[in-house]
Amino acid sequence: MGNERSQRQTAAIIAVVTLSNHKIVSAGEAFVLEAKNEEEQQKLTLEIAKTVKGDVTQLSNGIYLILRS
Amino acid sequence: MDGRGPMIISTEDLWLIIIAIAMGTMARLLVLKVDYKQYPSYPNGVLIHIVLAFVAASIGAVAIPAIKSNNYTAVTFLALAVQNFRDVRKTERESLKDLEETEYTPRGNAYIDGIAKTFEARNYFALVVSLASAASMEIVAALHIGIMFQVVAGVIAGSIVYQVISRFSKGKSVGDVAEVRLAEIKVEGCEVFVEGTFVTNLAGTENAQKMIEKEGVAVIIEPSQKHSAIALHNFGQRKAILFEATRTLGAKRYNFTRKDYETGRIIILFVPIVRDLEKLIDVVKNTPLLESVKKSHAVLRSKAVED
Repeated sequence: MGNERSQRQTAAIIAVVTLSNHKIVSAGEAFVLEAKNEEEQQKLTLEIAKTVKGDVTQLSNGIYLILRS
Repeated sequence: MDGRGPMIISTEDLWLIIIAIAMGTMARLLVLKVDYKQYPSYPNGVLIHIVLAFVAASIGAVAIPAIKSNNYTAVTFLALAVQNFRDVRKTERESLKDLEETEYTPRGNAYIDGIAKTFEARNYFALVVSLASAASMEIVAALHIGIMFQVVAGVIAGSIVYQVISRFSKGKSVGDVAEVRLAEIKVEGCEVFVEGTFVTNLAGTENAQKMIEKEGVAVIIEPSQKHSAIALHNFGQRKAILFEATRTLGAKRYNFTRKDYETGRIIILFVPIVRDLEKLIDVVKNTPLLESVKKSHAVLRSKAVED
């Protein structure tokens, strides 16, 4: 495995942008936002990502995560 | 005293010191590279290193005349010089560490350690070359040969010692142990692949996908021998390669390094400010193989056989 812990570029989940059909059980310290539709979801994701200078990834179920390393 | 007074320096000693200092300083100047790494390209950095080289060469140059005049404590000067050069290493390390947060990507501790060690070693260049130059001039003087021959002997001896040391201390670069080539980037949704190898899934927005696809550059580093992958996969080594690439071309956004365990390949991907692919290949090839990650394959093999 090597010295992975010290080598990893860790990223924290800053925000989660969901739709009404998504169920969030617990979000930890992340800021959770529910958008009306996919268009708004993308728009909000981009706005938050720009604000916090974060990176974005989309999960297979459509949830957007905004991460910052 | 062979015409040389203890109080006033003789012409021969003066020549000896001047030639030895000149040879030592020149040796340092020859290894003070302002190349693709652009370090130390700034005027103040160059000046600092030239002055330090002059001091180092002076210590080496005066050591022989000092010993000759029964001043054996002169040897302690050499110890002082060593301590001084260690401080150079320490200062260099601290200075580079302070700059880490302002760079496009960090150099990493392994690379900083390598650079600092190199700067320390190069001061010894000046010291040893001037010492050798002075010693050879003194030997020729002892044979009662004219001053011109002494100068020639000093220059030749200094040049030979410089050649020997510079060859000894010359390290390898990534291009010596691996093939470096450009690679195609493929963006699939928020996932980015380079020649089929997953690199990241952080391209979640359309902007990011477009930017990586249109402006991103990717390089594949394939170790030419299997054991070369040990050094290339090292985290510090990969950081050093990424640092050199982003420092040369700039980094607009995103930078990743990935290891492909199956093939042993290393992938470097980033979005540069200046898109100069030829320069990118050159800079990756010329990135030094860090001293701290180098392993002797011969030693590893013999150990494995013994076990």
